[in-house]
Amino acid sequence: MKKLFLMMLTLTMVVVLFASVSAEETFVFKHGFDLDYPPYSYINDDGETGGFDVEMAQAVCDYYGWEYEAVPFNWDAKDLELNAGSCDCIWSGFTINGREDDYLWSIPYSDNTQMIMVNKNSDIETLDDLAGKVVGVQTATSAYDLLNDEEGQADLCKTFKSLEVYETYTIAFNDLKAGAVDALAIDVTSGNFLMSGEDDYKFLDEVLGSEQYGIGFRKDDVELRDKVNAALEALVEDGTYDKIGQKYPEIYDFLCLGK
Amino acid sequence: MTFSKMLSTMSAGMLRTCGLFALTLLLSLPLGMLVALLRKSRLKIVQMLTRGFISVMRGTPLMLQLLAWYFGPYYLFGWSIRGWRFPALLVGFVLNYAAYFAEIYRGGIESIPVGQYEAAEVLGYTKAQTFMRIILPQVIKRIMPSVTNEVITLVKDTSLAFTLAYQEVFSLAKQISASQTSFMPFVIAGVFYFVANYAVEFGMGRIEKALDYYK
Amino acid sequence: MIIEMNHIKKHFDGLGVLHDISFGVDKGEVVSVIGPSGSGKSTLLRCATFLEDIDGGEILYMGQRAAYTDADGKAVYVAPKELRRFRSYCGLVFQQFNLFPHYNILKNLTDAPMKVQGKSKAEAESIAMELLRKMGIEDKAKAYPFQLSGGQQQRVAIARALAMKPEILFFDEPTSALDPELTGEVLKVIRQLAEEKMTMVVVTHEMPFAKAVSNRVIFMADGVIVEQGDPLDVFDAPKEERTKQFLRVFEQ
Repeated sequence: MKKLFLMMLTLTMVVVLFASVSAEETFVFKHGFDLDYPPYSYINDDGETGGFDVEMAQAVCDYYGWEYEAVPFNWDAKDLELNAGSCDCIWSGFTINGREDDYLWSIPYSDNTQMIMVNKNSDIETLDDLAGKVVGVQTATSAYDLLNDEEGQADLCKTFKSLEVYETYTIAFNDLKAGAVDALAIDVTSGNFLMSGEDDYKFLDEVLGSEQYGIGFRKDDVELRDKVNAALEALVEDGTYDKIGQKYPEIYDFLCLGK
Repeated sequence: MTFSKMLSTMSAGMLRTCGLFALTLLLSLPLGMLVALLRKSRLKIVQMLTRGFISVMRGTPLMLQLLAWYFGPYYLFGWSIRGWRFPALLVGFVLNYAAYFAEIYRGGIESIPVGQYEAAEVLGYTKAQTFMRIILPQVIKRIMPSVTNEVITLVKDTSLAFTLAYQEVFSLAKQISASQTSFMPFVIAGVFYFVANYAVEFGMGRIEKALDYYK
Repeated sequence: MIIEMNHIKKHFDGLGVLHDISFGVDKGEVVSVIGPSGSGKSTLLRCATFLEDIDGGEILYMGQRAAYTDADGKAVYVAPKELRRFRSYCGLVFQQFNLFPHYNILKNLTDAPMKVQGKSKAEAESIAMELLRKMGIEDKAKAYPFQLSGGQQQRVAIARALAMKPEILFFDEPTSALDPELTGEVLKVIRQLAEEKMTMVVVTHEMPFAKAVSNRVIFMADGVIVEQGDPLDVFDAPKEERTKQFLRVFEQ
């Protein structure tokens, strides 16, 4: 009887100890992202939160046994969210170029280029042909930044008749269809995404600019950044990165890790 | 994404919109009355503070207020804001609308002829009885059109919840539109808003009609 | 004496309105108060019914002090709870009726008796219906004030005041807001109350009515009582020059 009691007591203590330890140690990885950015982070066909970045972040969590928490945020408030700690990183097709010093960056995991999208039978063939044309772009994107950057393509931008700035590429694309703009300045993945299922549009061969995507961390979060980097490398190693990438054909060619 | 999937995903968003709408209304309507009464307080300091509160609430964009309520605790005091997203949203909406309602109430209260107060006083009603039994019912009738206006604005203002990444119907419309490269989500959102506001108009119309038994 | 007001002083923003007014009303007495506009008649009624606070003097109801002047010369009122008891002694009929528009006629008459005096619904309604019958408008019990003529509304207002069973009823120019053809029905009701020995003070411009119905007439001008006495004396043989002047205007 005494033995049984002692055993039960020990068992209880072990369980309590284990529970408290595990409760303390399960790290919650708060993945901050914009749901407006297909196919990196968006609402998928099932109406669920998904995308390449979301699946990769979940894979990193699985790798370490972390708890994954999705923190969809309003893109304009991303820095407020990150600094306030409501998320641990910005991981949402986030361009490194031009922001090198603003965040602590992971290794770049995807390339991207800014392109000019036009109607297939358009007379625009080169960047020079854009002179006197109306060009559309989405606000707060790399393409937009590039066209306003003196060291980027600001000079080219000055040759346009006008630059129309849109809230979303969806609306801009409709204006291209309607002929209200002659061309769109857009990153290649978003462009491919828009053009999927449409045959009437193409990119110019000439590239507007190129950039890389990474994961932005708070500057003092070195330990977490290093852990995520290590996990990314391991996931490339075991094929998970490639497997997830294959689900997103419009960006697969740009995934740059392990190449 | 199939149309029916789109519809069901957005319905979930509409439910969140309605939830925010209902909670905001439920809390801000009575709170507005409190603010209106404080605004008319005999204590100068209370009066001034309330007046200041109302001008800040009405004089700054609601979007800014939402950001301030959510991030303020962290940036001002370094408090953790985990789990504070929806409460902050609600606080922002409720206080903002309470300020607007307070001014509507005040206008209503001040439009009641002084004779009503005097008649009640001579008959021996207490101050509380006078307000609850004589003044308030008449105020409600008078302010119904302005309140209806404000309520309809609220239905549409709920879309500002996207500021704090609350997945209400308009945020969802934007996101699904981006992923589906389609305008259909906006059309659906438009229909949702219209139906919701039609319901509000209908409901408020019924109340106005019910109060129409006297002039 | 039902009410006694002694040495009442009242001023608005430093402007004197009542200068040392004293008067009392006995049970069953009907007093008419006449005088040019701005003479302080209405203010006197409003002080008597506690709508305005006096600045000096004393007010007694049923021989008990409701307000008095303390050693520093400041007017002091009894505690609010006490004051409500004093309020219950008096009723006031307004020039503008001031009925509650959201209540029907019956509710206008029963709400205060029920909520203020704690009467049962049945009792309050039986009193109310009795009064409406007396006013000749029992068929309007379920109507709302806006559906009634001015004369009918004023009769309801009188009934509402009477439903509280006051010791004394004050009237503040009860027919001034009415079309001439409607004043008669209201005056008739007041006359009827006078016959029943209801104690009343009526501020009025209806001189023939004041002469016929009241036991005493008070002529006020510039915040003082210039002359008072039996209506026949005041109207037909006024002693003061101001009174003569005022009455002359009305005779024309």
